[in-house]
Amino acid sequence: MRISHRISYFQLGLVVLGGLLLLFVVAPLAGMFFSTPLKDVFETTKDEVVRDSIELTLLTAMAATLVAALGAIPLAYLLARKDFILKRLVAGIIDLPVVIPHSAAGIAVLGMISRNSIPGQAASALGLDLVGNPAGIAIAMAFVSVPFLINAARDGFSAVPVRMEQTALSLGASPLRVFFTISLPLAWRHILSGLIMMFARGMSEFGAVVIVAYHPMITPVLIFERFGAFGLSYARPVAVVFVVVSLLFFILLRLLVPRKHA
Amino acid sequence: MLELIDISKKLGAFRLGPVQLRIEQGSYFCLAGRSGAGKSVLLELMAGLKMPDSGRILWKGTDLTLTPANKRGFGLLFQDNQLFPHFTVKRNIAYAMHRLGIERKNADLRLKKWAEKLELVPLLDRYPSGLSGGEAKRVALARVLAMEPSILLLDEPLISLDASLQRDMRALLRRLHREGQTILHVTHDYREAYALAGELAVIGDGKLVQQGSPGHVFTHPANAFVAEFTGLKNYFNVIRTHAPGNGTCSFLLDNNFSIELAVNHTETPSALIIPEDGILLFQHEAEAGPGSWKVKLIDKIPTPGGFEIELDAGGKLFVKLTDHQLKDIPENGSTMWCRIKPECVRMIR
Repeated sequence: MRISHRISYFQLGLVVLGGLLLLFVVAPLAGMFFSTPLKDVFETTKDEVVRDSIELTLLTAMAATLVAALGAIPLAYLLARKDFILKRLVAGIIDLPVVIPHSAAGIAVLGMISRNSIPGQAASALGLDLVGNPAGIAIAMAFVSVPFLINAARDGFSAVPVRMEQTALSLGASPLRVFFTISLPLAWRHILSGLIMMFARGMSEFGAVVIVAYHPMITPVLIFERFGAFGLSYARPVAVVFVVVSLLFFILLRLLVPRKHA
Repeated sequence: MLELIDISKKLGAFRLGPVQLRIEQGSYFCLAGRSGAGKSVLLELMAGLKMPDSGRILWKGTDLTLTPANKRGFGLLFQDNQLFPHFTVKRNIAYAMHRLGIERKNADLRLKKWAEKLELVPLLDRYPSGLSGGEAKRVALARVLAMEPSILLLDEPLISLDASLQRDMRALLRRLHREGQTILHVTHDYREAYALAGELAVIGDGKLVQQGSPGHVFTHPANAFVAEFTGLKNYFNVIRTHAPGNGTCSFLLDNNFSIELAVNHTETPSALIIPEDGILLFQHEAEAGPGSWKVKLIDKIPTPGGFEIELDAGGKLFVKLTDHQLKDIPENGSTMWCRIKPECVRMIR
């Protein structure tokens, strides 16, 4: 007997609606690529200002991610494992940078690191002016992107069975050894995904960074500056190069995520 | 010796204890009870994974109540094994030895010893995801035994194994016990407890209901709960007895169920056990004779040895029949006559 596999109207509806959304994401990017002459893209890659800005963007985003991870991972573990008063409030606070306008986040960060603030004064005492400095840029990037890491790591730790940690404890391992040999390796896929998301989000940040440091210029600020000063045709090649670099990094880092033990 | 003194713990609406328990060194102790009775909580309290609200836990006279789990030296095996999925079998077994600071050479020897003993040598380089249920259980057991625990705490160790693997695992546990390992085994299965335990405690609703040798607990259940848990079906509390002096005695049992038996009355028992094979069934009153009474057939339940018949005799009564005897049993809902063999009735005093 021949069995026919018909697609239901429901499935068809899902495909059409999903396809439209995919087009909505792909179309502007494809349009940008196709309307940029290859010659302009090559010339842009030789532009010292563009290269410096991309290097600065990558380095500050990476520094922001790695330094923030030192606090974000322990906090995520705490949120996944412990019940404490105001836990929901803490979880809400973590998501705040995602929901507030990024220009407002930039104002908040600027207030925190300006010379009048305690952290700003402490940095000045060490000879470091955070405003208009790569360190300030990294702080702004970390502020808006750290929720991605905390939430991913929390999900990762929550997925590790408590009983597995208890088993390790009963086998004589200290809580610290349990964390480093059981919890962290088993949550690592989520954590690495969170690190990548935080890095990618920090790299693409404009609103908060432009308020903290217009100079030195990260690439999103440079794109904005070229667009404002010279127009779309000057900003587009920089945008194309930056998108390509971002995608390359994104793919490379994704390849680092280990496969799950089947 | 492990001693629990007045241990209690409240978890939401559930309250455990106060519990008193003594587990002698070298014994095989089974803690049996239904799901939710509190046996696993008690096990976790012993292992140090939960702290009691009150009471003390002593091991060889040393107070361990506040000692963290990683410093107790007790080996705990969860029912779902909890093998570390990112480690090979070898690294799983070696996990505890790393902490104990055992020299590499000795650790290797110990690993080899347990791998051989539990027939795991061909599996050492595999990951847990490639193991069968029985293999995973043996790896988990080897991992906990490799730390050479002062007491082995087992949480339902046979629960997810098929019948033949259960038999193998029972034999392995008996062998470990013979070699001197102190074992505390938590189970919901009375047959498992009977087959393995040297000492048995039954727990219900967070309280220890009865403790003793399996032989004693199974033949002299302290109450209806223990009787039911240990698989005894016809256990009745005696409310009142009446001996008219004609060689018979009538017993008023739970639920106003009363029976008359041809026994000499001496003193009022607290309960009666009527073994399932101590009841005779008849289709007609004339066959049944004196001392019989009318019952209604509720259901016939197949069992490995034949059938179990559920009767409404004023209260529920269960009778065991062979396949051959079932031929004479009418349809469910029919009326029959039953007579109890007085010599089979056990009186609990």
